[in-house]
Amino acid sequence: MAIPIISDLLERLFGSGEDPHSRDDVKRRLQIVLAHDRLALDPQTLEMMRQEIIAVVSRYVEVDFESLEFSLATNERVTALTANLPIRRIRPLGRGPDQPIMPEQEVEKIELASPAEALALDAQDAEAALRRFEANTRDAHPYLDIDRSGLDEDEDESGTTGTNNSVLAEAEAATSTDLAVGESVDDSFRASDDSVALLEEPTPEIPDMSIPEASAHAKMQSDK
Amino acid sequence: MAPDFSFMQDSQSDSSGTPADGGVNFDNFILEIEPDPETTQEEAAQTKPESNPNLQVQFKSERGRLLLLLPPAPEKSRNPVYWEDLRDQLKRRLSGGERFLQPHTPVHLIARDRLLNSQQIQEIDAMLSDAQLPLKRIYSSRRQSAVAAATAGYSVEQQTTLGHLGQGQEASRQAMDEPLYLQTTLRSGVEVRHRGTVIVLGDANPGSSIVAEGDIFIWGRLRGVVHAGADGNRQCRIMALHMQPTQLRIADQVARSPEDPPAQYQPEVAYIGPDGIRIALAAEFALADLPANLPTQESP
Amino acid sequence: MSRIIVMTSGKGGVGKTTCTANLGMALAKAGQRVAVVDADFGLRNLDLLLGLENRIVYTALDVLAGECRLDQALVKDKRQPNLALLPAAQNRSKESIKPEQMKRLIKALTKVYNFILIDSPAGIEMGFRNSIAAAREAIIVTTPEISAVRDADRVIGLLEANDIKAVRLVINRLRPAMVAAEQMMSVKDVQGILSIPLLGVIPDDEQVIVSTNKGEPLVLDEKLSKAGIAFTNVSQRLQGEKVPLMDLSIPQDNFFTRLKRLFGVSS
Repeated sequence: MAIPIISDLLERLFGSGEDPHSRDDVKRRLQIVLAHDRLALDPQTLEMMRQEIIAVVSRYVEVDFESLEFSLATNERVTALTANLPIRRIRPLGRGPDQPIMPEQEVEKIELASPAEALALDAQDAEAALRRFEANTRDAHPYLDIDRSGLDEDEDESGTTGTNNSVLAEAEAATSTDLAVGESVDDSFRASDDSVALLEEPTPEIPDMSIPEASAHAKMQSDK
Repeated sequence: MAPDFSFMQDSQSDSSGTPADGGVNFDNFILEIEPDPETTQEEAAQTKPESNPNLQVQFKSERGRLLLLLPPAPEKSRNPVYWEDLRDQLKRRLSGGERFLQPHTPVHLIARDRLLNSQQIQEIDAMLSDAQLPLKRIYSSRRQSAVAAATAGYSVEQQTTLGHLGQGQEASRQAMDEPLYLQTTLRSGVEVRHRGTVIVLGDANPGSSIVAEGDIFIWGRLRGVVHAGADGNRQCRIMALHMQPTQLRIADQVARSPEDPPAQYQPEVAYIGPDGIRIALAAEFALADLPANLPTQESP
Repeated sequence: MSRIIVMTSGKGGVGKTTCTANLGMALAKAGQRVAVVDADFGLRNLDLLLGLENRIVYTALDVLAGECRLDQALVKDKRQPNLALLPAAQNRSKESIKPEQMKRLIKALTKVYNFILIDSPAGIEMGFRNSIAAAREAIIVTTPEISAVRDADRVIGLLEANDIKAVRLVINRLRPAMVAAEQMMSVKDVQGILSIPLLGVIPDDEQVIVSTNKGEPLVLDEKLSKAGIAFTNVSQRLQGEKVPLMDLSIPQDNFFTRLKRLFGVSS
């Protein structure tokens, strides 16, 4: 009994003991919470926006998924979305982006692609089919097209660019192209399967500013 | 010996002067809100609003059966009772007087001109069933309520005019209703209105109010607002074991508690004396009330 | 032109009603004609804080129902005749009055009173909407706590959406010692987050509870407490006077002040 009293006495005399920064904690928490309140964005929309931004950026540069940060912060009643996307390296033109974005959409696309692939096999030789397939998988990412009315056009466009890209890639490294394409397709399959399984777990309501497990996992998969 | 019961006479507003023309005399002015453009027209078109504001849910026994009288439709009442209020009142009446409600007494629901949907009727039925009172029949003057009750499987009587069961409004204006007995604590926000005497076995807390056309008896602590003789009867009295009201009103008189409360409370009676509301110890008041020629004893 | 000010906070229990009572009383003391309006139907409290609960005969609802005139429902304060209270009904729900009716009440009050303070209920539902319906200005009352600030922010947004542009901030229950110890948001922190002009800061003061118990607003005290001075300052700023913020900084917390506090010596 005496010891707590003495320690209490010491503490009251000399201070200390408490963690000294609850004021900073509350400020930080408030700024985040208010940013969300003021925007009135639901977590789903926010997550979608996050994914789309990553998708766009990933087209051009390779992003370090481990340390990217999205934050909504608010100051002077103005809310800003800050994205901190550490870039590993500039993506060589013609290589597809990393795969981990919106896995469920990816799966959808791939499933849709399969009959198309079959049709293509009927019509064309195997190499043409592979190119087409590559174009389709590449097409799995343009989420930025919120207006999807011109979908056909886009598909055509990306189809051609896809072909162009693969042609370019062929020019760059004629021997390894086919292999590389095959590998990336394989990866995307595996990645998407895994991520679907992960996504079936209930997702937290609170908007998570860190990268979700699904994409992190997928990234690791494609790194293997 | 008795504590000072000089309740302060105090009308809420000291301004009883004439309307200020032009500049406003701040000590003496009359303020009125502009009439609501919508309701004034409506009111003119509609029947006159219910003249008695003291109507709440009410039980009445009549020849071996129990009448459950609902207050009139809120849109016609100066003291509107909406469905939520109605439900609360019914619950309070059932729980506050359940000792006197004989189980299995058939209940006749007199809905008057209230609109009730089938769900509300079923809810009333459920509350009555909890008190072991079967809902026998529903009387309504509104076609919609009657249809709703019938579709919900109750036996219905649609009355075009309010018959004797519906407590003819003209007739009811003369006689007071039988006393309302409540065994409950009246908490803040509860308002009991009754066209007769109200007896409460329990406390009336601050923020509660009782408006009775007859006397008010509180067998407990009176701390809320009470109004006896609400329709103008100056003979009415307020009695409480522990008289510590926020405010007392009898007929048109208003009184507040003295600033300094007495050290000890005894049963007391409030009545209208020659100079407004007075308070007396219940024992002494009862003696004073006795005919003068009877021998009186010293109070202990 | 009367000033119609709604006192609101979003969160309950931050001291809205205390602020309304004190601010109303302080303005009345300064010679303004003040009407304080309790818009918290069903859970009225302003009458208690002003010590007028036993004088209420009619309420705003009775006025609207045509049972009495508006001046009959107004409760005049005996201590301070410039102040009048328009009480809310205790036995009704917040839905029992409509914004349009509130506007009619307030409009009539403007004929006599030049300051009308409307004590809003907590929340952002019907009662809140009623209380802001007639207001031209707003005073946001908050405490330096995360939940209170968040709710205040929401309410500021709603006020802006309802075209109430003059929105000012009162920070209540500030504890300077805790701020100094980095355990509470400072005035600057809160104001920085909410970004509306600051009208005043009320230090946490036990006297507030004492005054509530007595039903006498702090600003009536002979010798003003810290909170009483702060409320008076707020009322002066509201009337356009330039009053510097009260110095709430505490003396440097050193060994000796702690020692003194420990042994109950007032410093």
